[in-house]
Amino acid sequence: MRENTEHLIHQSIKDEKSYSSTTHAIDTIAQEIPQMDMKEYPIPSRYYKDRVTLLPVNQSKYYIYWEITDETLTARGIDLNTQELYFRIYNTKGMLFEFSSPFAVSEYFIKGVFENQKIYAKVGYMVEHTFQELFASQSVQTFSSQINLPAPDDEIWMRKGESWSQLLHSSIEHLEFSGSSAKYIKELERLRYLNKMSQSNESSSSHHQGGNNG
Amino acid sequence: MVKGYWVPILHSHLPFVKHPQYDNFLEEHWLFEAITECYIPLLTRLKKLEDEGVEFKLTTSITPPLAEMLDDAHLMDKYSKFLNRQIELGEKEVARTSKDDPNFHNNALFYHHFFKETKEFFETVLEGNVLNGYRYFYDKGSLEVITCGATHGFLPLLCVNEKAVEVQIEVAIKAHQKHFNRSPKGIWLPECAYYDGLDRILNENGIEFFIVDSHALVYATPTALNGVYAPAFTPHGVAAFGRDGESSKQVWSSKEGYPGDVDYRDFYRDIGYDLDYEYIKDYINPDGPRVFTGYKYHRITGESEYKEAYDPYIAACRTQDHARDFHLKREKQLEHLSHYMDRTPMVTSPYDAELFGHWWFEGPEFLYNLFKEIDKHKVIKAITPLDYLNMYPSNQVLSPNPSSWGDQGYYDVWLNEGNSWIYRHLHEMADKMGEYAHNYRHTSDGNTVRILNQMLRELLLAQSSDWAFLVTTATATEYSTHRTKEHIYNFNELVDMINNNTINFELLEYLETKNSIFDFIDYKVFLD
Repeated sequence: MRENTEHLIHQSIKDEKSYSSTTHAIDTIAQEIPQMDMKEYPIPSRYYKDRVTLLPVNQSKYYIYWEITDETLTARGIDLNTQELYFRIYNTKGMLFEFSSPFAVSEYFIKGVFENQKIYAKVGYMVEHTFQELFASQSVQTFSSQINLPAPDDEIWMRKGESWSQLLHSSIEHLEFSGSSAKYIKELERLRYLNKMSQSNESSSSHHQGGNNG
Repeated sequence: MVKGYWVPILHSHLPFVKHPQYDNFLEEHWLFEAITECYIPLLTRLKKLEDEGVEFKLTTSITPPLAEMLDDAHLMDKYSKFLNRQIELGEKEVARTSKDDPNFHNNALFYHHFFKETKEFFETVLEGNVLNGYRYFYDKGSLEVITCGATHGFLPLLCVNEKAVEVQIEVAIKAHQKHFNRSPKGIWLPECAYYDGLDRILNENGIEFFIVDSHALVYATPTALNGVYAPAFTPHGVAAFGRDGESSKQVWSSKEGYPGDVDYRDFYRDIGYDLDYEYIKDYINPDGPRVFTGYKYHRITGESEYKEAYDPYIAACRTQDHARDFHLKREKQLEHLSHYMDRTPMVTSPYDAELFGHWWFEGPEFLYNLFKEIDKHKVIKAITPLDYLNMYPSNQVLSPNPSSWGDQGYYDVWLNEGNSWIYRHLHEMADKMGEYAHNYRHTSDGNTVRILNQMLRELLLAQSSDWAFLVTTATATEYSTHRTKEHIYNFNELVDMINNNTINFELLEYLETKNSIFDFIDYKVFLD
């Protein structure tokens, strides 16, 4: 059974890198010609709001942009003529990456492999070699490039029309997952055993281990 | 006996482009060319299949901006004029080639006839609205029409403000209801781009399935045990269908794909570039630069510059060969897969709809012949994603890997050193939209409501992934940059109107006419 799965997975990605869909149809429809008489549209260079935002690009590249207002800099006594802002990338275990910048409004592309985890950024400044946090970005789920086969007993199957919350609801009502599907899956794997033991949930009869469905 | 199922899915999309201040605007031709070369040829082939009693099932997205443009009276009036101009050029070409260029006389006759037939189909069968054709087959059940993001926003890069994603989906559903009188069951995620948690929003909006690239399932948590040959459910119960690389490559690959066959029409040779400027100037860009006219007289021939005359009959015959080849390869593939699966396998083949007809001129004829081949042999069956889910309602649960179908498979195409500047503005605009929607949630002032609704239109139009894409591919870069800045600027002008309590009615009316997408829009959709 395991061999079959591995074969199907191999088949699924064998052509993945052999072509590219970069050339979308629009790319052939659109034509580059000089634009005549087009009005110029000025756009803001800053929004006068504190912000640091982290975005994933690929498995080894991340984008961060920020704006630190003059009010914040003044309130914290930060002079960017003599000091720098520090940006740190964290996961749940600790710091992964750090860089600094003398600019209050700017952007940066981070190179680093932080696969399959939640990461976020903090911006701050240094006081006597100690990082003083100003504020943090939202967290982002990074990409994976690994095959992650479940243990045979941990496969979870579901019928059309159901959702994870229905599967869990009757046995576990107190959990909060803050939007992470990966977390749901991990919890489902663990809770599957609880469900099995309690046998209290009729809906659990509709999800079962793989290999016999239809 | 059916050895397996083929799930063909087309993605029909163009960004919203409307410039009522110009009689002839090049970027509006994106739509006109797609209608002429892709949408109408597809619909005529589907009608032919129906008339011949050939069974077929096809899924296609009609994205909200595309549907809005196809339903726009101003644009359709311009489309009629475009067709008339094409026919007029055909008449000139028939006369010119009969006298001076006999080698291409048959080609001129072919295109003249092609544009006249298109006009007749558009005006009579479709009654001047291309959506009528899609509605017809949708209602018959042979075509499953699915939606997309409201303006094809790249959702993983908008989700910094989750409401922005929710609004992209909610407005898309409303647009689908407006144009097709029902809610969509499926969605083509813009650029097939997925991020962790998106399935909750899809589920809450009644979406039952979406399409992802293969690595979204293979590198999922946990990995899809059937690879891409069966759908998987996300934790919120939405089915993810993974793209099959093998069948995609046969059509997409620039080296090995069918569109590169030497007998097919060469895309690049066009009389807009080949003929004397004085002769062709009325049919190219009014500002002067040469552009494609759609009159392309050469076949691919080979890799060199030397090109021979295109023969539509020989090209049509090649589509039969390629349809047989595609069918045979799917049959073998599905038969092979069935040895490894405890259910009948399926192969999902998603393509850009505009590939069939524009880039690959003979593409619609290929699809026609392919459906005939499938119906004739009955060893594989073309179905929709929902058909498969109804046959196999129980599927593995997994969390798809964040991904897209763009180059390298992740977000690079839409976020790189050339277009990163866009996102700061998109995020700020979304935050501001939420703030103003909240602050003015009880307003009964009609003009304030108009401003807020137009703010939302400008935000949605700025979010279109097409602008960032075209900047990356260096195609229509100037126009794409201009469009992005235009919507950011318009949004801020509208904010200023509210802040200063001074309405520039001339500007407001102009924006409502030009950026008129979604006449049903209600800014309150941005409220929590």
